Amino acid sequence: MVSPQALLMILIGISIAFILLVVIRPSLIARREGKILGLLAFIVLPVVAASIGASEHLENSKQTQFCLSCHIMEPWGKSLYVDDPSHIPAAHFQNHRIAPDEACYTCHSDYGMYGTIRTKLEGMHHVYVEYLGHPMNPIHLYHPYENAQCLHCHLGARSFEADPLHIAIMGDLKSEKLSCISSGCHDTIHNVSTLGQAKFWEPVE
Amino acid sequence: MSGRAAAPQLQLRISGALLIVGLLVEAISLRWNTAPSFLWFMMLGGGCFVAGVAVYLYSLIGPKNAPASGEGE
Repeated sequence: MVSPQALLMILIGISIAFILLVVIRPSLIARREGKILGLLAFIVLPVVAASIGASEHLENSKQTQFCLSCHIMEPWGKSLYVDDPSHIPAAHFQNHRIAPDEACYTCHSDYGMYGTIRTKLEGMHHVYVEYLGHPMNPIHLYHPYENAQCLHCHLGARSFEADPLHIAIMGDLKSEKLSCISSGCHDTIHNVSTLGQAKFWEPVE
Repeated sequence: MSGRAAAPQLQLRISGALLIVGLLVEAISLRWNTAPSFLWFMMLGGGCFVAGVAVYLYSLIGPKNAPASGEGE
């Protein structure tokens, strides 16, 4: 089966062919009927191709590889391979509790209404800051990490809900009064400052 | 060919060139899944698309096109 990217390449090729046809034979669009060909070649096809390309790029930007393509993110990518189950992101990544090829996106996306759009806009802002602005030093999240991002998966999971401590503080977790990661329970996150002393897991190729 | 008739054709060529560059940038940028390729797509590709469409629309409704619209009929 032809992949969506191959179809997009075919569409780009057709668009270029139509544009060249009109540029080489401008008399084709001189008549009223020809104007439709002009609109097709110069507006409809390129706009459709550009929209599909933008959508493809945004879809690709969910991938871990995309986030780690910025040099500044290297330590955070490395922290996913720390050989210590108390490191929350590393344990999730290495044990496939999250899709490893969308690791960053899964834990750092907004699951609320219009969350996808907000997440994409924030991601575009990251790219802008990295290449055209001044990245924070050290980098940190724009907003405190919300429990909602943990509860999106863990809520309803047997091992999470059967834990007496979780049951006791469930209300506070849902209302964000207590934080999963900064209230002393699961506070070993990326910890990039201690990577020098860490042992790393090497996946089997 | 008069200067008035040549102007829309020049605009058509400029628009075509911009759109082709935009489409090629899109095709090339999709080969990599990295932030720089996304940025090239948005800045260079997007810029060429917007400029190409704008020049084409201008060639349709711009003042230089009005006297030449009867040509070829």
